[in-house]
Amino acid sequence: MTEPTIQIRDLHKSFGDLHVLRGVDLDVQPGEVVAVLGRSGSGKSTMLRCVNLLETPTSGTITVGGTTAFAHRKPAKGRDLVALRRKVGMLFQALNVFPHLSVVENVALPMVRSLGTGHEEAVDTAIRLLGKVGLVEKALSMPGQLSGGQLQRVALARALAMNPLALLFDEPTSALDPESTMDVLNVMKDLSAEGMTMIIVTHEVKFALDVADTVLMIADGKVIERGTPAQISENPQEQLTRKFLAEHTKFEGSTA
Amino acid sequence: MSFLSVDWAGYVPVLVDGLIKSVQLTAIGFVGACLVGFVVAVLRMSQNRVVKGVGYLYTELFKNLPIITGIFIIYFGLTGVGLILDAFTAGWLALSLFYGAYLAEIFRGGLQGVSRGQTEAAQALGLTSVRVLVTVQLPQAVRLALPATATMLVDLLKGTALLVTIGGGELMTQATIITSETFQPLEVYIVIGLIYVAMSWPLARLAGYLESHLREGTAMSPTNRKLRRITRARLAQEAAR
Repeated sequence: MTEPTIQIRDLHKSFGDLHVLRGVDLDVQPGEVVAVLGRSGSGKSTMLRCVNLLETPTSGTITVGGTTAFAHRKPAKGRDLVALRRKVGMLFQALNVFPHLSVVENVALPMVRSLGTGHEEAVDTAIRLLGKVGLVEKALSMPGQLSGGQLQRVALARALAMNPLALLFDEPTSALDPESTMDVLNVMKDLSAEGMTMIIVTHEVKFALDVADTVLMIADGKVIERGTPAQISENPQEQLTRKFLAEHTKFEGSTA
Repeated sequence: MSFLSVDWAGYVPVLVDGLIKSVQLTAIGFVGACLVGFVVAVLRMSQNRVVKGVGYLYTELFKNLPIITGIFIIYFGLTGVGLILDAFTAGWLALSLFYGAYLAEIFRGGLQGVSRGQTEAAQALGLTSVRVLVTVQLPQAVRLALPATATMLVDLLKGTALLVTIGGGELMTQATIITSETFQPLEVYIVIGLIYVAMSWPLARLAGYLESHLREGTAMSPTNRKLRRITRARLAQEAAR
């Protein structure tokens, strides 16, 4: 078996007395799409944020692309930290496109500032990626002129511009209307078809089951169930998983 | 020329001298205030309680002390401990210290107004902490802090007039001298007042102009302008094809 792109072992995270993660293990193989389901507060976002050390874990080990990100209670620091973060792109619920930069600058400037890419090359890459997310015509617009779905696609292009090993999605469509959600999910689906390695924390259960290779169900800081989408949707073993899926697919039949 | 009774033509050199001093005091005082303000803002945002406390004490002290009292302490008071400053130096020093406290609050508001999400997004892109500050935090903080900072600059310009009390040599000092020679306080102070208005009004307009440009997304750095220029060229090429 090839080396996993992301490996998490016995990950624990506490915020003061609050024990949010209680021993999470996860291997993400190159090209694999892992969907993470769970209620709000289950620890799924915290797990994701530990991967690129936006949160510092309490204990456990995290390896990204064969390099240690966290081990022996010590996170990567300085150059190592920056190198780690360049390897994994992240999308947030809160969109977080830089409002003072035009769309093309949002995508090209981090390349210039972080990777030292030349200006011409950065712009060429930015235009190509904006094309991929369907926003070339918005290249010179300011973020204030864009819709939520467009902003999230800019953020996606920006993350892709760093040529990451893997992408982390922290509820990327939770702040969007249904139409914008579809636009973003379609681009994510294209990426998975191209073999992008992704961890997707989402409440879009149908999408998760459709696009993922592996589905993880997290409750109270632990992975309570994992399997293929077919296993999870057709034959969930845990009561909590069944309940979660029932709640999240309750009204879907009526709109389909 | 019955309308004006003061021989203004003869006072032009005096006025120019006062004007230059006023502008110098404003410029030096404002640069000093920005430096003080930046340092104190950083102190106040420190995680260290003692450091934070020092910043807090500084702003609270200078916010609650009358400027004129501070000017007198620096100019007259410090002679008591053997520190003799000329009026000009005491003037810009006092203005820097006081306006530094006001600007510290404004700068802190600007920096704290940049959302945590913006910072995290920049960090997640693998930017170093210095790059995060320079590329994402400061440009947004400047936009947030600009209107209030510009107000402070105009206020500081007018504040230089306080230095008349220590003979600062600026416009207001010259006005009192001209008054004592001509006995025409109404005319002299109205003319001097108009000169102040003529200086501060364009300054306020300039700030407003800058603000609206930044809001519309005018690129601040040469790199940003270059990226846009290349993009424009590329898009034009594609359109032509």
